[in-house]
Amino acid sequence: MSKLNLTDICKTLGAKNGAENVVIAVAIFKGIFRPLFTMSDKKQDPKSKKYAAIREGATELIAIPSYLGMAKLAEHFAPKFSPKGKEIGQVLSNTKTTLGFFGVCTAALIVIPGLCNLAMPSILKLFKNGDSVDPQKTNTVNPEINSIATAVPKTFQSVATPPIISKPSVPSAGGLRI
Amino acid sequence: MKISIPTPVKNFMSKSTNSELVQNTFVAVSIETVLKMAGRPSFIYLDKKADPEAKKYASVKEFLYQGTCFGLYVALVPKIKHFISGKLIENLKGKSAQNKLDIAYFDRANDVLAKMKARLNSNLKTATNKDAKKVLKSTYSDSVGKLKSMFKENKKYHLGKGATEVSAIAASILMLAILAPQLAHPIIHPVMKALGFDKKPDGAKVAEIPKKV
Repeated sequence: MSKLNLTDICKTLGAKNGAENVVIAVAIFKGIFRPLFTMSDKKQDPKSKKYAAIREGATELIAIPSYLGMAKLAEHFAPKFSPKGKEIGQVLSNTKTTLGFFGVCTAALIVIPGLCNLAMPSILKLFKNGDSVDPQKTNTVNPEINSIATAVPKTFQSVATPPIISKPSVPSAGGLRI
Repeated sequence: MKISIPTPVKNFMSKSTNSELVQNTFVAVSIETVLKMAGRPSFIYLDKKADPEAKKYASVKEFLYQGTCFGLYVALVPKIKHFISGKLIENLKGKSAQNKLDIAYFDRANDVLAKMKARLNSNLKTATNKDAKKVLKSTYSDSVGKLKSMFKENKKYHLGKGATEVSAIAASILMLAILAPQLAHPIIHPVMKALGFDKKPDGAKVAEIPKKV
């Protein structure tokens, strides 16, 4: 087996650089670095940072196969999206690349958040032990993508405490209803 | 069941310009980040099981985080990419004489494209009416399209193109996996406060917000 070096990697990506390459690379590094950063934060409570780190790692672990799977699935439909009567090789290749990108977009927009919603409670249960924080207590928000839910102050999640969030005096960003 | 795809959709999907555009790492990641900015907060907000106040807080924070990531990405990544690309190309050139030739070919190809763009701009300035401008633009895009596909088919072009994409991927990783989580926190925190999401209620202790978003 020939050794893959930097020149070969560049030549391969120069010939075809699917959108899934970069998003998977970013997801891999996010999966490594974000839990590391979370765990190395000395200001945070040890229980909640362990919980946040597991959540961040699991999110990226879900994201990697989702990006790859959706890109490949979308590419699979390329022949249906290719016009007939043109130079089939080049046209098919163009269609595959464009569809692959749409697959990645679908994964980012719908598939990953959806899968995280479904899978995260089970994943967190697997890691749950005496020391860990109960996800139901720390996270009343959907067990989403990353540590955003854990970033919610606990007082926001308690029904017993008085309502903390006051209506912002400025219009909400991006059309979100606050 | 047989589904027929409309011809305009087929033409759009198979267009070489679109294929070229989505193969550009910077464009692909920028679009993906914008989609995350819309998708993730929406999923949080639409979760019926969550506490309404908590999900408002989380969705706004996620929106701000992705927005900050997008801003930082667009502002800083081209510069980081340029820096990495310079170093990488120098490294590749030093590896073999063939690499040097390939990079020179890539540079020449880019020069040709840049000259064509400059010529189009100068012609557009001198063009008198809209029709002439339209003809100039379509001629330019046709010629550039043909040239680009010619370059793409040439294996000499791949090394230089690949080096720029590898640099863009490295810059994206550096920004989105390492720098953005660190840089976003000091930006989001004051904005959340300004939006009234960090108000300490009477007699209630507000828990510290973890550093990572």
